[in-house]
Amino acid sequence: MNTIQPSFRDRLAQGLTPYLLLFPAIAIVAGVLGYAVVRGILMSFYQIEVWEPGQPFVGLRNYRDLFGSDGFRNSLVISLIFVGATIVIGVLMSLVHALALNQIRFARSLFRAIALIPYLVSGVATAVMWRFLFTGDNAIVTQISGALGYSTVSWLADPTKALMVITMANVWFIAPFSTLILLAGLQTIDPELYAAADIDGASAPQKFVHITVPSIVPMLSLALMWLSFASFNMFDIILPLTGGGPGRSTEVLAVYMYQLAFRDLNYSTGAAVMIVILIINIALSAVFLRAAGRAQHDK
Amino acid sequence: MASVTLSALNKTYGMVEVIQNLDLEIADGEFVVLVGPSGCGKSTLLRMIAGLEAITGGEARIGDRVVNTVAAKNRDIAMVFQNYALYPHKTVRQNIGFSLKMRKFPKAEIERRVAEAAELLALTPLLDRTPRALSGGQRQRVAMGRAIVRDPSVFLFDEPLSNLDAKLRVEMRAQIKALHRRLGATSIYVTHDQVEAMTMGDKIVVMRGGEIQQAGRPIDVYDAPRNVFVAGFIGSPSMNLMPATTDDTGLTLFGVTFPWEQRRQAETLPEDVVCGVRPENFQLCAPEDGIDGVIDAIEPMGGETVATVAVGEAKLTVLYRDRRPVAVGERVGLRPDLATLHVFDARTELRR
Amino acid sequence: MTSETGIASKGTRFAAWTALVLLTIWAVLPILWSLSASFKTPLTLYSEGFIPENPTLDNYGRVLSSEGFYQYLGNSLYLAITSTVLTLFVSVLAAYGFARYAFAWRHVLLLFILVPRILPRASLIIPLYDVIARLDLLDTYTVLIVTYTATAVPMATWILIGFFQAVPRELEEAAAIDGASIWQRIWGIVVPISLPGMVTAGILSLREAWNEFPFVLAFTTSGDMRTLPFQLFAMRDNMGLTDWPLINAFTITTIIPILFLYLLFERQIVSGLTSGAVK
Repeated sequence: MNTIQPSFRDRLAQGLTPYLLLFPAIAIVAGVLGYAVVRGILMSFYQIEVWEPGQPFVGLRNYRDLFGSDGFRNSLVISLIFVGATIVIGVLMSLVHALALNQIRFARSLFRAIALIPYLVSGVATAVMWRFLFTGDNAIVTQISGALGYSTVSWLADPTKALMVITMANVWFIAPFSTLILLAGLQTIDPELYAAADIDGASAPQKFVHITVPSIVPMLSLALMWLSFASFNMFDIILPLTGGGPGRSTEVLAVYMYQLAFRDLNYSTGAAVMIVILIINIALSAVFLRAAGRAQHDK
Repeated sequence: MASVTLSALNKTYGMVEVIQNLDLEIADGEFVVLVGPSGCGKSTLLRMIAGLEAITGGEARIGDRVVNTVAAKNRDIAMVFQNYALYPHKTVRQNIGFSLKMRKFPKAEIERRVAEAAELLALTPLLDRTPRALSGGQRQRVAMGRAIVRDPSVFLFDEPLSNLDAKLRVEMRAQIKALHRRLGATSIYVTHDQVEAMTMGDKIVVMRGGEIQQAGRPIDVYDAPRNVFVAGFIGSPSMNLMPATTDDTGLTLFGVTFPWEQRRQAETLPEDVVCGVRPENFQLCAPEDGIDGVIDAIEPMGGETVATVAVGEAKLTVLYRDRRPVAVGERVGLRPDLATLHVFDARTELRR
Repeated sequence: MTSETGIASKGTRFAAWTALVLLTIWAVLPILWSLSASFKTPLTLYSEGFIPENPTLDNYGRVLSSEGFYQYLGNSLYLAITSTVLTLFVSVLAAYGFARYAFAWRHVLLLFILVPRILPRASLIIPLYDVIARLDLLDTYTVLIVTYTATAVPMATWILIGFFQAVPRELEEAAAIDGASIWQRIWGIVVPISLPGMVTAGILSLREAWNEFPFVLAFTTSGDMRTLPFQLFAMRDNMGLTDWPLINAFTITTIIPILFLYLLFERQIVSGLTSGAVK
């Protein structure tokens, strides 16, 4: 009995189909993002001026300059404070928001829709609205703090207060998405668990500790990941809101990198900052993924 | 219309052989049912005929044409799927007409054919609804309509009734048969339900482990199962299969010897056999006149009654149609009807 | 802590509602305050309360007649729409490939969809600016469309994979028997069934492009290339007296289109975002 095999052409077409389908996506993603990363790494090892020929290889000198500079250390500290404060405030606010949304029944989808609105607004628009709340002698927040007997100096003129303002604007901007993640987590909890706990005599706080929190640990770590990523890389809000000032009091890493490259025209050191940012991002995601994996495993 | 011929067909997934060296001849216009337990390869076989699974080895022909490498759409077949596979965003009319549209039929011709199919299946008032708005039976009929509108050479059915409730299933069984009589198209029907197989098929093909166990007219398969597996699979309630021994005097079952009547030549039989008796071919009698057992359960169904009798470790099923004053726990005797007895070689499990 | 048991205590319900009302106000207050200011005049800006006493549409008129507004609006629309169409086209093909085929390199290639999600946009501008400047492509739509598409494709593909996997294979097999080619199956069967996924991916990609800031800031120098967010940034950067009613009207104008789309498809977007984020 002769065995009939599909022709070579048919098999080739069959085998190639998925690659053909993927090709445009891979090409554009690798072409733009992949290229940018590789190019960024290379740039950080050379001395590059965009409009000048000749790019001497300088090895790690850009990095040495970077770690030796006050501007960079300042930005690193500012970024850490900014990210840390955002995470703490953001996760608390979004957890409370998600719990409240999960608790109510009346008009829940309306309130949920409103909760996500800041996510739709652009970073620039967010910055401008927050600037309006705080800028000038007559800004509403300045008026209120004046009426309450505090200083009437514009908040954005004070280094500490300016950092507080960008943190709050940032929380306003990015916490809604983490609310959505946490709400999705809360909605997967089997209501029978709470019924069983009621019968077992658990109080509301006990139910929260023993049922709610363990059930949403994966979502919680996802929300933390989102909050730390988004704020660590935040650029859109800070540049329009404070431009990094007053002084350098709100110059987080992303803004520092931008100023280094586009104001001081120091591209290669800027690229070195980019690589530092990428490395911190990779480390952050590794930490969170491991934590999430462990939490998943413990369940 | 066309015949379907499968010769030495093979299908492997990696190291696993799901269809082994299978030969089957389906005549033009025949209604063939592939039946077997889940995992027996019947659906895979159907999908190989359809062109949805590649053929590893051997040859499949539809009519005179070898179709091994022909794409599904060019095999001139239609298929009714288990979950109907109706396009949810298209109306009934568009669902039925889709294959004609893909083949660039003129609009008027599509209209005419869809109307005809809808008429035949009583779907005319539903033509502008979407599948979401239909009941299970209606969806099933749309799936049928989509198949017949093409007027294909071969119809393939993949467990099309398994999602319907019992009453609707009986109704649709009759409808599909009537449709087949009317259109006369070659049909291949896959099911795991042996009642469906018995009632619908011109020919049934019993499969297990990727191999055909027996193929033939339903009544022939029922009366003369080729091996122990087919004997146990076809018929409901299923046949009693018991170890037995033979010698010149007769057949010994659970220590009771039943002398041969004229039918059997004892010397042609092996000593150890598996003996098969259908439930209706056991007679209840006094304990000392047959196999001694105790009634374990009684299921009266009105017209007939099924009793389970415990004989030692074994449970035997008896079916009787008269009213008898027996009760659970009572001792009874069982006598097999030797004329309808099935005897299988205990080693090869083949019919003797 | 759940609504389903229905017997949450009065105290719990009170706490939930209090928190919800406060957080809802927090979410909309900056926008409402900006909206309120957009109906005032520079003179009444601080003297009037939350509800303007003599609301005027004057500021919106000034926004619409401001120099270059239609140019910026046109740029924003053009970039958002072209990059979204391109993103959907590319992502549908890729998502279909991932959802339906098991092939060698699948997992390696999947990384190209996953890894970019941890690449911040702002960090890419230095190397991209370098190459764009060298190729003399600054101030071109092409560069912006390509970079917007590249950053939107991973998320869109990821969302669509989930939707495509939910389309029963049986449907496509039926279509194959009915005579549909792979191209017809993708665009005629799989895509229409996954319409909620297409809407989600489409609106998220529109949002990305409409709101985008770092790329347009870095890759354009000519005023003609500005998008609405860039112009908003430039306006607030003006020296001297800030015309807050005008700026607020401009802000609201940029928010409205995307907010309108969002409210129209809120349900799909929320479920699409949730599944995209959670997987």
